[in-house]
Formats: sequence, C-alpha cells, structure tokens
Amino acid sequence: MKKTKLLVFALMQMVIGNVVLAQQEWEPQTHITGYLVTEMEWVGLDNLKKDFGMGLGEAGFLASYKPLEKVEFKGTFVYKPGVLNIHEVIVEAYGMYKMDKAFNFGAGRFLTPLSPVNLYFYAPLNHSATTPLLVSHHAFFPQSLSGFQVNGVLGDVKSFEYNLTFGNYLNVHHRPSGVLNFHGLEESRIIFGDQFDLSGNVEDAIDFPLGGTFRLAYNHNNWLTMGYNMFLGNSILTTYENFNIKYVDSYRKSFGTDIHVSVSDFKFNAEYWFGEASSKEHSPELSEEYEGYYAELIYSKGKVTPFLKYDYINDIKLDAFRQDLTEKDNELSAFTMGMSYRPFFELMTKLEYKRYFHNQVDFDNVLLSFVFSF
Amino acid sequence: MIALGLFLSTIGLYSQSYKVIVNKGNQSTSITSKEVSSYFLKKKTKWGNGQKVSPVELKANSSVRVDFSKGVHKKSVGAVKSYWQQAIFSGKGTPPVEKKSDIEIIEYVKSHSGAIGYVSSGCDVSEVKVIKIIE
Repeated sequence: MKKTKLLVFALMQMVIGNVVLAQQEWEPQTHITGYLVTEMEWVGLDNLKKDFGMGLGEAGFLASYKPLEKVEFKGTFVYKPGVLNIHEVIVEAYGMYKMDKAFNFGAGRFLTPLSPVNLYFYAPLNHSATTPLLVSHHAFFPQSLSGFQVNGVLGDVKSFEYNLTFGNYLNVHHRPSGVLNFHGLEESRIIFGDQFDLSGNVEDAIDFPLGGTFRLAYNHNNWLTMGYNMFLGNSILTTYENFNIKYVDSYRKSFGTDIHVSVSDFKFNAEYWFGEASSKEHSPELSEEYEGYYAELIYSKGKVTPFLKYDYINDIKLDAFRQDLTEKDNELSAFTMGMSYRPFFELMTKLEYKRYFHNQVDFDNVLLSFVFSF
Repeated sequence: MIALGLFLSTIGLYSQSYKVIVNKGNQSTSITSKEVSSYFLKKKTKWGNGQKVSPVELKANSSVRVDFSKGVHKKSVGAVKSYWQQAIFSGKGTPPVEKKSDIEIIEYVKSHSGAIGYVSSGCDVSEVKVIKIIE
C-alpha cells in the first residue's frame, strides 16, 4: 500500500513537474498584422451608374495573443465598402484552448470554417483581386458564426482534419459592394422580429438564427486535400405582403465538397456547393435553391503568380440584373485570367481580366489592386 | 571551381554566415536542411525523442536571417513572412519567437530544452550545441 502511494506521488510529481517546466519555458506571444487594399476597376456594363472607379477596397486588422502555450485569443476586423454594421466588421473574436493537435476548443466569433473558400475573404491570402462568386454572392452559409467550436487534426502524413462550429449568426444574404458597387458582399442585416421597421419602433427582439457547420477533410502528404462540408440552421426568407417586406422563419441547409491538388509549382483548387432554404410554416411555402462552383489553376513560383479561374453561381441578386428577372437571370458565370506580383512582403499587386456571362448580357471587367501588408 | 563548390557544399564544409544551434541537452548531432526548414515552418513539431520543438529566429531585417532563409527554406524572408501571414489569418499557426540579437537567441536556446535557433557564424556558441546541417 505504501509502495503504491509512493508510486502515485512520484507519477504526480512527474506530471506536475512537466507542466510547470513547459509553462516556465513559454513566453507570451503577440502577433499584429493587417492590410489595406486600394483598387481601380473598369466594368463594360451599360446599366451601372459609372464604368470606372477607384478607391479603398478593403482594410483588415488582426491581433492575436497567446498568454499560455495552449491558450490563444484572436480578433480579426475587416472593413469593405458597403459594410453597414459593426457585426460585419468583426469577422473573428475568440478564445481557443489548444489541448493538443487532435482537440481544440474555442468560444467566441469565428470565420465560418468551411473549406478554404472563406479564406479568400482576406485579400493578402488571395492571389486574385476578387473572391470566388461562391464567397462574394453566397447564400450557402454565413461568413461568421458566434458560439462554440471544436477542431483538430488526426494523423500526420495522412491526416484527417475536422471542425464543428455551432452558434448564432445574422441573416445570410448579399448585396452590391466594391468601388463600382458591382461585386457582391455578404449582408449581415439585423432583422427585428418579422418586420424591418425603419421607424425604429421595434417591439420584437433582434432575430439571431442558430446554425451549425461541420467539415471533414483528408490530407495526403500536403499534396492532396479532399473535403466535405455542411451547414444546417434556422434562417429567414424575405417576401412581400401588403406592400411591406416580411421576414419568414425558415431553415437552411447547404452541402459542399472541395479538392485541392499541389504538384510541383502548380496548384489546382475546385469546390462545388448546393443548398436550399425553405419556410417552415408560411403558406404558400417559400423556398430558394442555390448552386455554385469554381475551379482554378495557379502557377506559383517566386514573386509572380499567374492563374486561370472559372466561376458559376445561380443565386445572384445584384441590382444590375433586377429588370424583368427570369430564372435564367439568376445565373452568372465568369472566366478570369490574372496574376499577382509580390516583390516583397509588404506590397502585392494584382491585375486581372474577367469575362462575365449572363442571360441578358456578357461583359468585361478589369481590375488592378494594390495590397499593402504589415 | 563550380564542381569544387558543389563538392564542398555537399559535404557541409562550405562556409555559411550562420550556425544552427540547439540546447546542450539535445541528443541530435546532425539534421538535414529540409528537417530544419520543417522545424522553423512548424510542419514538424517534435524531435525524434518526442520533445516539442521550439524554434527561435532573428528579426526579419537581420542579414543572417536573410542568408538562413535562402539557405534552409530556399525562399526569401518575404516569402516566409507571407507563409506565416496565411497561417495566422487561417488560424493554422503562429511564427517562431523572434529575437533581436545573437545573444538573445543563445539565451533562449540555453533556457529551452527543445529549442532550435541560428546565430551568425562568428558568435560564441560555447553555451549551446552547434548542429551539423546535411544538404
């Protein structure tokens, strides 16, 4: 009995000693980074107010702090033209406990972690001057979720990565953005109850639907990644009744799959998403369906990164296409060719040509942007 | 001359402007350049004995870091900073601890059992262990 007690005591000393040693070796770390994007753009589309513009395209700021080896706090704030409220600026604000590689637990606000598609959102990480239509026009899942997250990686050379996030979000929609008010931006509109009350006479509580995401990805030695993604949640659909906008409770479910292949200096990325939103109790039943995909080929060696991309989405709701809408008018596709040039870390320039294909008109778009990072 | 240079480089005798150092308790005597790169990019996070790797490096404006980055990562310091920018924004990781001078690097490596760092070739390294890099 005495021997057992001694053994337990010795083991506890070992464990505590290791923890204390690891803690003594840790130095708190702070990281601050950010970027500014200025862009020039021309669009060959007649029914825009102007076809050429320039201005601030985006401003992002990130700060992270690791007081302990296993604890991290992170905040990311991004402003884009067209942002209407602070909820959209706060992209991430969370605390994460990193138990080990296989299990991390976090609480706060997260950039919805569904495949790399949402990371295109940050300009310095995107070789293109525009995000895929899946990101800028998507109604598949919200940009950010506030709540809880667990994630981790199992394995090493052949690994599985999982991520489960659950929480509330604001309405998933999109509206025109960019220096010409032509590109898309997710709209996180605050909705009060079932009416959008402009008078400010709000009787109902702010509506924050609940939703959850799940991602499972397989990585093979860093050259092949295949992922499966889903989003399920309560949602809100818009209809008109008695000349008033009415918001109707609904549910939303989306599924996506992605593949990423890196061979030599070439990288191929492709994603496919489909989803639907339906009213629960409204009569007649309201429903929307979405589908989108993109594929791109990137050659990345040295400072110059040329690329080709094809985008498709069938859920566009931009004002430029609002006249006499037919089902075909919801479809938009684009072919993009461009390049980024990063002569040094602090400066990245991007030049690209896009050809859009739409039921009513095909047109061209040229963008030049400068990204300053620190 | 080129052949001689290649030969010397291959056998590790080619003079470098930096030395890679580890804690004196570290059992390793040599590692490949690719492994060093993996440790500094945090692609490999544990030594052979299971101990956690703690990389430490000089500030980005250091000429020694410029040489180390070209020699080990085969990339410019700017390209490595871009790599870490991506990792930070995506939440996949944070870059190694940065120190201003060789002396601070040596102090860090002395006090961290799993540490790996680099200092200029003329630096006094008697309190740490220099590790041989195999190309």
